Amino acid sequence: MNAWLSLTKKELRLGFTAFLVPIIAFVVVAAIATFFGYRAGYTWEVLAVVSVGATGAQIAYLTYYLLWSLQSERKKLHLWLHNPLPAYALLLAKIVAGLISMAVTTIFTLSVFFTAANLSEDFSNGIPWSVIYDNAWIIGLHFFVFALDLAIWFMFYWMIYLIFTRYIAPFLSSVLIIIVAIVTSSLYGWFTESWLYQKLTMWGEINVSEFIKFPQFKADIGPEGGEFTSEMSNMSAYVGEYVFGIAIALILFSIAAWMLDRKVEV
Amino acid sequence: MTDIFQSTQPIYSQLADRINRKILRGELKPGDKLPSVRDLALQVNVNPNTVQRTYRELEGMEIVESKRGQGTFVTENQEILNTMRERLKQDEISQFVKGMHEMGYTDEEIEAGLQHFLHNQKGDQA
Amino acid sequence: MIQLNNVTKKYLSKVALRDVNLELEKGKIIGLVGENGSGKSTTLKLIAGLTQPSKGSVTVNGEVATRRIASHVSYLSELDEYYGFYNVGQTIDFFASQFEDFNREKAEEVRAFMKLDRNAKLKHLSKGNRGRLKIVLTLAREVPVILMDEPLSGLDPMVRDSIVKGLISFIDLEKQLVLITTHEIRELEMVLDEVIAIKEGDIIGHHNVEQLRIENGLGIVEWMTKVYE
Repeated sequence: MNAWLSLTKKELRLGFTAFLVPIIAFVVVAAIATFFGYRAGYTWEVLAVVSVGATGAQIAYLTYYLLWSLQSERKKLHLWLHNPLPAYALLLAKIVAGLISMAVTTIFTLSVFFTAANLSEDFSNGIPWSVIYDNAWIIGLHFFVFALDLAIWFMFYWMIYLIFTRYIAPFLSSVLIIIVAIVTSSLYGWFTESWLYQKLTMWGEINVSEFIKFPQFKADIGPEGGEFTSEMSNMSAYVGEYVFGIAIALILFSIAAWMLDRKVEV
Repeated sequence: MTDIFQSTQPIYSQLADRINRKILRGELKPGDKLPSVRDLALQVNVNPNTVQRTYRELEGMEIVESKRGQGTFVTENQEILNTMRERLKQDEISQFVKGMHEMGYTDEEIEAGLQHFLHNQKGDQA
Repeated sequence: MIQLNNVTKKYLSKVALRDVNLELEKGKIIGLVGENGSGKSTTLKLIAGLTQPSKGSVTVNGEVATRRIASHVSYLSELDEYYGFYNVGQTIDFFASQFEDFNREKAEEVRAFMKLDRNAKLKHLSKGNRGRLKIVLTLAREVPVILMDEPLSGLDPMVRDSIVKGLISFIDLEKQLVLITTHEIRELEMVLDEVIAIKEGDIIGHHNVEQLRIENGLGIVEWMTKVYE
């Protein structure tokens, strides 16, 4: 455990630049956008929109972070892999370091958003804050789980890429792995549309309205708003889909770890 | 001790030879402690296993004796040291004579030459 | 202690090792010599479990060598890539945290012996000092097998000498086996117990070095010239 914690500390240090770049980029973009927003008379609105965009973009944060981290390790494979810890522990150290960086960055962009939105009169009155607050945890959870899922797929492909590079040039390996990724993820996408997938996952129905709290729309919203509400509250999610998604992620992670232990060569 | 050894001859015997010569010259006296295996290895830049073998060899000839937990010491048995002294002399002379014979000198020439050389040297010193 | 049984290692078209059998015992410093690309580094990586044989098996202490053999093997790569954001002391501390058998006091001792500054940044370390640091990290582990890939390569004579002296001082020949690949035979030949010559993926000779001198009157260089013909 101590060895693993030290390793995670090293990963945070290794990914420190990867952590700084998005924050600096966000500050720069936000500053420029806000400057133009100010000239147009929409200072806080522009800043709030940029912050929301930046927050949303972080769905890919973990993948980006791992790309950075794994790429910088590629030149030092003899160092990274010459370690008694099992591969899953090596990978988890990177994931945890990534999640910590992601959490800090998300908190930062969100804080900017809330501050800007509160300072904007239009936004602070117009945004249904109660909906956001009520559903914050479930949105946040989905956000992180989705980011994690994406990152695990990425790691899986990265390990195959590392195996490719043993035999063919790095550039060709990248091209090849991108093709493999597109083909396999399309196949997987096609599979999720299939009858078999539905059979496998359509169980344990959850009524979304039990988890997502919708606002009581006032009369002034009109008939259209009413329709929207009723549509949403009839929507269903399936426990099966979550179980299946988690199972796939676990399998991909295990294969990635196995490849790192047995197939990736220095 | 310098660390130049003949790479084509066994190092352990070259090292044993050096220790013997040190004893002859009186740099190592009867009863003196030899350096530890590791220290000597470091001094002459050779494998500790080789030094170990040198010590074992010298022990076999009873020139040194190892005392449990204390180290390796030059023997205090003067008889053995005298034998060693005699043996090294014989070795050196036979080496010399062999070389002279190879160059075609006769025994008489060698003897005369040696006496002359030693005499002159004495004269130089005086 | 280390055993290679009928090991063949192939890359796409190239054969790096061909049907190699090797048995190495503890208590020895063994040199693996041969030309560039003869399969020396591959042999070390196989023992370190950082690469896998195409055929045959590699075991260390009876255990199949995968990368997790790292708990019994200390491997020094010929590359000297380290984490550039650490300084010497932090690098030592990181290694200490990763290997249970890492002896911090010994690391300190070797570091002092190698005259390395704990606060020197890795980025700013000279090639010679990086070579020294590798020795510190490798020898500080109380591990049964030490593998060193070209530890003297590209270093000036002073550094080479301090590395050879470091080997003599800090290896525990009661418990450890050291396997070194090298081009610099002259510098190492006095410290080797055994020598293995490898040529184009074949082992063409494996001898006790003193035996070679006693029986054939040959030093390692003379012997290599002979077998390489």
